[in-house]
Amino acid sequence: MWRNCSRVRAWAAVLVIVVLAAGAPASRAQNFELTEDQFDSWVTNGNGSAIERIEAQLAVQMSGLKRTCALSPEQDRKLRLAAAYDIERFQARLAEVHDRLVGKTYDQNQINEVWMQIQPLQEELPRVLGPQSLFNKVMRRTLEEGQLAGFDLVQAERAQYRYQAKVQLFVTAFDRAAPMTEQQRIKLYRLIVETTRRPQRFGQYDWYYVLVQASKTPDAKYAEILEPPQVKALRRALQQGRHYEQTLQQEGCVPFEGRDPLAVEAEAAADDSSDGDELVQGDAS
Amino acid sequence: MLARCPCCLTAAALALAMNAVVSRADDDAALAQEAAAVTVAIDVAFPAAAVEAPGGEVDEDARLAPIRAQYEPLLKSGLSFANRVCGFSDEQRQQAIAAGVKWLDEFARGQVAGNQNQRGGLLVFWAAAQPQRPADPVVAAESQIADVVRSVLTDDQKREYESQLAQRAAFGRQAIIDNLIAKMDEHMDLSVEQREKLTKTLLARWDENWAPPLETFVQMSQYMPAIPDEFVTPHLSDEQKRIWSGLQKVSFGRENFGMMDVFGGGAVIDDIILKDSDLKDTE
Repeated sequence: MWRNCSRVRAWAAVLVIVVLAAGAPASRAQNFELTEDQFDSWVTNGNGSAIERIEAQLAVQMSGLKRTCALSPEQDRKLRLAAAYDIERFQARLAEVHDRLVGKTYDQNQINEVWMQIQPLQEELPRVLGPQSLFNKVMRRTLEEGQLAGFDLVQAERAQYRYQAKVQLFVTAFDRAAPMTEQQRIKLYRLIVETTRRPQRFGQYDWYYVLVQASKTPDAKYAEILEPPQVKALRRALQQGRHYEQTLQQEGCVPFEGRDPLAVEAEAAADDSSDGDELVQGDAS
Repeated sequence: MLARCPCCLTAAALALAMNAVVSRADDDAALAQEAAAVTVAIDVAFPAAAVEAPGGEVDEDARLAPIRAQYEPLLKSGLSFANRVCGFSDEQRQQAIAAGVKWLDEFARGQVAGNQNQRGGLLVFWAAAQPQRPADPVVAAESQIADVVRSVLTDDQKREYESQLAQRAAFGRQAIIDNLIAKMDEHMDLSVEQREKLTKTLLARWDENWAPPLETFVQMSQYMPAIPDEFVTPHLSDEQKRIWSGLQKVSFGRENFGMMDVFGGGAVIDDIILKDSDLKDTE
């Protein structure tokens, strides 16, 4: 079925190219009318209607919160109210840009201008219920201490998973350029994970974030794992990230600060374990 | 970066058109955005076309040189890997380099011949319309380099080499799966249990035909790669399924140099030197 599907798509693609090559849509390209659907598609990057996207996101976030924190009906009500405010505020901005742009015709020179007005909405869309939202602020005030600790721990685990995936990506990429043994690969991965911190915020420059962070680990550490030609190649690879340091700063892609919930959890687990050991020793004596 | 040949542009246009068909983004500006992204990934796929000498004759060296230059890092990396995991003797090292250089020359000639066959244009369409993934020259090259390596190894070395090759592939596979799941989690707030189930399913059903190439996560990180729904939806809640079905998914071309190019080629290891002086020693 998958293969048949590919065949249909590929032939459809051929058709599209033939039509494009014939120059049929040339006049359409010169005079571009921004329709409702196109506006939505630009805002959501082709992912349906913006408000539906946020509502689906809210449903998933609420479901995640219930899974982690067992919300009371009152907490649930407050959070939904805060989310409704965020959605309404975004909707107002959306409507304002929509009314200004949709249903009008633009020539090729104006398309970029139109896009510049829509792009901020596209960037804001995934953040409507993000860290700066009322939803997030109300959540942090509404949850009880234990609930909040549980929520922060889950978010920290997700972020760490994402960061470690990026480190794996880097190690695999580097391995293709400067091959390693399995042992070297695993040790390099661990060294980077242990000597760097995940970012405070993820974004489109995560790859460069890993390069920048890994470049701060001294060569001597890498030399304990890698041979000299590999260390030399690594240094060259990591240099690529230097040009992105400022962009990363501007995007808020800086190392996570403050007390890491994962570290707190690990310490608590270690304490529990040592308490257990003391109990065992006490029983034995 | 290689010169853009007509094949590259055709491939980029084809990929762009396929995205337009697969996804619902049929608006011009979104397509223009995607065109830029897709071209980045694909325009390293093919070597520059034949170069004609001033007299109109095709200059053979000029035609082969860009392909040799493009695949040389792959050969160096392949030999460096074998050397590291098997510990070549001096003699093996020289034999491997000589065999590798010979292979590179033959491979480049084969690629030139293949590209000439494609130049008519219709063949490109025909190949793209086939249900099977088109032959990936990089995968073919890697496989042939491994054969070159095997030809100089002892039985014990071969065992170690195969084992290390398998571990290397497994590490790369896991990196793709973890990055895929991290991307899904970004949109769908997965639980630890869901991540584990998805990992298990994707590992069990792994197939290069649907798997996105690793460089997808570097060069086009804003896109969700197209993964068969049947591997994903059984592990999602109803709310998550709604998000998943609304996400725009993009199929990526595989014919590129991928991860070596994410470093701009500059990071390729230099402990294997394929210069003439090395070859003279082997003669």
